[in-house]
Amino acid sequence: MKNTYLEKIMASFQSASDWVFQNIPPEATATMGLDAESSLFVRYNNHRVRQNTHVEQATAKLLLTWQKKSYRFHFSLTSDVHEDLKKIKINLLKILADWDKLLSENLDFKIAPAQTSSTYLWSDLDSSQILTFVSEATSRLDFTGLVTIGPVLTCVRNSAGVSHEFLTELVTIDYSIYDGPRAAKGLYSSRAWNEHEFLQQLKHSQTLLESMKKTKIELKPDYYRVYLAPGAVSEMAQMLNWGGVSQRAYKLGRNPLKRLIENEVTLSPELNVTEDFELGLGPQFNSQGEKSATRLPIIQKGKILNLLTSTKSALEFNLESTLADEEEGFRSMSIDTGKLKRDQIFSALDTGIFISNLHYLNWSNPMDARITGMTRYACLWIENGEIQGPIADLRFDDTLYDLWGPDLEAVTEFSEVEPQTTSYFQRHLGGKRTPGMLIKKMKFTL
Amino acid sequence: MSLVHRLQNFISACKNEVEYLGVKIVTEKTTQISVRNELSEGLSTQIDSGIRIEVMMNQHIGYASTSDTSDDGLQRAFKYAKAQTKFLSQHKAYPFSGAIRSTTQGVYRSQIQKPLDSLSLGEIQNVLRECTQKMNQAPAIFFRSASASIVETEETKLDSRGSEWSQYFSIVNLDLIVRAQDKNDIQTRSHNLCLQIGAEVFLRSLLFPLTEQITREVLELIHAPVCAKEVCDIIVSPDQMALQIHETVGHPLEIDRILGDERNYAGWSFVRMEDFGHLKYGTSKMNITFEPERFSELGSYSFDDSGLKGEKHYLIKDGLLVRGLGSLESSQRSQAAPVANFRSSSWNRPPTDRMANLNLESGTKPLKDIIASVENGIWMSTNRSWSIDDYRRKFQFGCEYGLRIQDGQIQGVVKNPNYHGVSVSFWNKLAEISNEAGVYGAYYCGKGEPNQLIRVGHASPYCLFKDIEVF
Repeated sequence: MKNTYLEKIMASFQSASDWVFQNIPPEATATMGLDAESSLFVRYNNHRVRQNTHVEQATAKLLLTWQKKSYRFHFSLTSDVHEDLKKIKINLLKILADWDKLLSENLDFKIAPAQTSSTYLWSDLDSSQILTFVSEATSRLDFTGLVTIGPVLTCVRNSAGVSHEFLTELVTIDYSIYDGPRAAKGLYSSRAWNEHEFLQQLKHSQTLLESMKKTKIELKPDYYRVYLAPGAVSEMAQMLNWGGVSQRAYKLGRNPLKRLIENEVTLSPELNVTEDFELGLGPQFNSQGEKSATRLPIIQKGKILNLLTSTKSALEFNLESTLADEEEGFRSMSIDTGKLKRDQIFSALDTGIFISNLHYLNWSNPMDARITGMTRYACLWIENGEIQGPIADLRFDDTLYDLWGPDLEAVTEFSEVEPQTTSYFQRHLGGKRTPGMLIKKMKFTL
Repeated sequence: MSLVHRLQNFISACKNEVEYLGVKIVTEKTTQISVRNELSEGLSTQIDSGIRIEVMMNQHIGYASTSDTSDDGLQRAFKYAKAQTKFLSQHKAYPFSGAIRSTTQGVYRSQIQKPLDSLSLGEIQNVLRECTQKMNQAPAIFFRSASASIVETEETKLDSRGSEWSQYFSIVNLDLIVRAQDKNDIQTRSHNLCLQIGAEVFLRSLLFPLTEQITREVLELIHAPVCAKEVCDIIVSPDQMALQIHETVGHPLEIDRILGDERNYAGWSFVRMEDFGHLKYGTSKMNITFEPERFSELGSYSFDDSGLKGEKHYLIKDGLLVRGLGSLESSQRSQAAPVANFRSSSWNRPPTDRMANLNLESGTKPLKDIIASVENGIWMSTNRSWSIDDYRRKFQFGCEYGLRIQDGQIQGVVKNPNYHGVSVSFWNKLAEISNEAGVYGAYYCGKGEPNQLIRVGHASPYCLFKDIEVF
């Protein structure tokens, strides 16, 4: 192990999980997970460093199942084997003493069968060199965002012999560049820092920002023909993770794609969405230690082929598990490309809005798959294939059944990979690959 | 030796190596209990703990956090903090003076009646199970859920200037949700309680009436007509007003947003520094306060992470924007008066400008008089959908439950009510506020890079807004 902290954490995790596996009641099962990282976060505002934070954190996650009951105990690992063992002993013995008084669940849990895997993708990232380069390369720009450097480790073991380990070391630069109120978005993420590739990405953002120099255009709320760039499609596709492809959400009455699932409507035959671990953005095993299929089609030719189904949901609703995680959202989403060529986007759009990004989406009427959200960053009014100027931000409110249904005119022949950048509580792995989409009409309301 | 004693020794030994040295230790225990249709839907405990070191070098503040609370872990974090802060100080955004940290001593405790551990997990499960049982009133109801997150947090901050303060929080976030189906339509009705409170929140006499109300209302909803599209008056209930205040007042007034720190994530703000003292944010009935010391609200505390003591301030007085949500750091950068809002989600994230309790002051009119004054309107309760732009102007909110009002009388229930507007023009349509208020909050308020979730409180009366686009 190249990182002293992670090495100590791993030893402590193994010691704690060994103790759990040896000390649970004979009929009980236990799964132990570990999420750990050693991360440097550097926040920039106008190419200057606003805050720098180094974080070493590790959380062990126990799932104990016995007699149609389950208990989860998550705790921070200190890396001191004795201290960490003490924490889990106290809590496990206490909950087992109260076990008879706890309410039952409606299923018997099933533990993942023995499997092992080990992936360690270390890099030789020199944070000082990267940060010096980023500071110099952006010194004439209003560059704002976050640079994240360091390894993320996730492991699962269980009492049936599962042992999965996955580590990836990344540098991620999630940024915006501003020219007054005009802004363009960029994302660079790699396991191997490459100055040239970062500069290319930055140059692309600058070109986009340059295209916004013209006078801002105020469009009235109406239906407009639009092109959604891959970043905007990614935001829209993210809504599928708000219950849209979840078996549990469907069974509990909160799946916004209910009508699609029940074949009342279909989406465009151009639309194919897959859970695709070939993207290599995160581990193929889930938090239960189950290894999912490398590729699982979810929407094929506009129809739902599978819902993401965890083993827990499968047991409860008497269905087949797809070995999804319990959240039943995409961990590695891929949307198939189509035929629209990059150099034909403006001419195919003809007159309409080029939308680089969307912002703050939400289901506005989940029974009708209706989504609302805002345009953000480089959104341009195009007339006869020519840029007329940036638009003032608009709110849309429209149903996915139309946008990805009869109104989906074309899908681009290229796609972009967007690694997961969220870091609530911890850095998250996974991501998406999305193409651009040409939409015949989209309803803007404000 | 206790951890606090070890940290005191650490600060004594290391304080001369930096311009400022602070250490914060946080331990948070969260128990989640969930019951669906009378059966357990999950039971978990999380104990999250760690330390955060902050150093000032060359007038730049930097942080290092670790869950490794051993002496070795502490020294390693200090080494990271020093090396990275010194190195990055050459690119610092602003040269801070020492006045960005306040020397403070004291203790804060949530005011509660019964400690959270006075009820066993089994006893709490039973109360929640009985709630789901109470929801079982009709065959159309197929989803009945009661769940609670029970949070006990201890935090202590020490620094090289002699600060030593501790805060002890007792928090419950409780959700009651009932769902019913009629043909192809599914409707949900819910109630959320999120407060600094003790085990007294699990009183059946408190929870059963709320359960009965949402159960009755979900059965009304599945047979109700869809809310019509029109421009009309709206009465907004306190639970929805909490979101209205949060999204269209709280976030745009955060000074670090106005200064651009947040532009790559949550966004910028339509408010400019020159607007303070000048912008007519709403009608003269609008009085918004920052109140971290208010009893029982979710965002109550005595000290922010800079050590500044929490005090009440008006942000909007008689409709005029008078003050922003800026910490001591933002105050130095913007020359605006500070409030104690420098907050972090936990030990592993740096503090930024956040809300605490942001409250709309009550008026004098009874709700029934406000209803009687409405010629044509919709009364909206409980948020179910929310979205706003990155400058916090154009919002769209959807609610679970609507009541149609005509000629001062409630005429019936409508489902799927939504409204949209633009923040300042919306608040300038505030026509009346009631003399009774509700206390709510946001258990998860997201912001920051790296991302942070924080808890904030909102108290609000019922409000009447004129001529709003409803659909």
